[in-house]
Amino acid sequence: MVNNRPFQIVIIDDDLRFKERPIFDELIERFGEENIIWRETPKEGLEYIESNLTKRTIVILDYDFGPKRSNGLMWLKPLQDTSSLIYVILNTSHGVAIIPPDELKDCINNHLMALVDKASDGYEKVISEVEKAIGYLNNRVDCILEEWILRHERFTREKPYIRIEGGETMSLNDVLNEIRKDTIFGRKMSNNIISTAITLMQRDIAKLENSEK
Amino acid sequence: MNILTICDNNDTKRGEYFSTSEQNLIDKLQPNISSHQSLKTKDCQKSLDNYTPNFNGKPFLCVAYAHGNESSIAVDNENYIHFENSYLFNQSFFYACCCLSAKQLGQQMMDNGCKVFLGFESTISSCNPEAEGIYQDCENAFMTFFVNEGLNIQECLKKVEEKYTEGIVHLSLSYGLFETSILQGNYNAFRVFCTNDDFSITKDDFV
Repeated sequence: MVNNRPFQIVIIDDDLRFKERPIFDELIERFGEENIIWRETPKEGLEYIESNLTKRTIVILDYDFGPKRSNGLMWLKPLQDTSSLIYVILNTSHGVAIIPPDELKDCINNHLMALVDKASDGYEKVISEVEKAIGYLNNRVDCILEEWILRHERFTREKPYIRIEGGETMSLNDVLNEIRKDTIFGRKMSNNIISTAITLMQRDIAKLENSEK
Repeated sequence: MNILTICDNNDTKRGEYFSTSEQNLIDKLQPNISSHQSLKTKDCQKSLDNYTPNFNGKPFLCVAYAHGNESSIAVDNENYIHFENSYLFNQSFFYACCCLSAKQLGQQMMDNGCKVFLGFESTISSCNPEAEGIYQDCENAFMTFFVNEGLNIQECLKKVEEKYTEGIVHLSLSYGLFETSILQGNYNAFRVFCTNDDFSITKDDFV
């Protein structure tokens, strides 16, 4: 187990033999069966994520869903719109070369976090990217803030919590929404947390300096 | 020392907070002010130039507790202080305890002769009604140091930082990091404009 904070790894892949592959066993062994969710289509995957946003989420998204179906990248934006705190690893079996330049640009613009080539990278690469993702999400202030909000009772989350001088009030759910949409307000909330930690640390440093004198 | 306060006390959402904040300041400054004029929501039906001559052309301190936007301060949902009437604060000291007031209005006031302008660059907020006194003490800290202790702008800024840190520590011990970060956000948004970068201005420049 990498850590004891709740997370889930959602695999979106239409390969019905996926569960027979060594990577699936390896993911289960490393991260626990209860944390691994497999969905065959991006639509099903998205629906699952939308209803299970209380855990930090790492998505392993297949790129190629066959010639007559959408490719995985078309679902990157809807996934990121659900929450900017989802970490997406794109899994392709044909290398980066088959991805058209416009789609690659979308990858970057929609904050795709990692790209793994099934054929050449091997499953170890996927595992290492998942570990990296967990570490990354654990250290993101907005993820911690999201988790903190979600740990409150629903009633508490819905009532006015912040009173803005302009007259508006915001509930914790409103704040959560701003964080997930990565708005200016959402980013400000995260920055305020960091800034507060810095203020408190600086005060401790000053106290230590005074005690040394 | 002459002081004018403008308070949108009838605002349905924040009127009570504005009123308490205004009272908090006046209670603290009382021994050091010679003349205080308080404009409430109903008084602001008359335009501002009806009131400012009461100081007989002498510089004064003005503090506004109302809703703000980038270019004006609103009372009773109407823009009451804005670029067009900012000349009324020529040679004066203006503290806009309002959201976004330092975004454009601050510079506009300075361009029109205001000597010192204090405001906030983004929205300011409070969290948890029981803790509002701490937010208000911090909001009023600059004015209190400036008037009661006769400190210059530079010294006041230092003291304000200490005051906010004190509030931040208190909130972090009594409430939580989230509540504390709201006060930190207010401090981060606090801005001071001063003529000719002259941070040595004191209250004696407004007597």
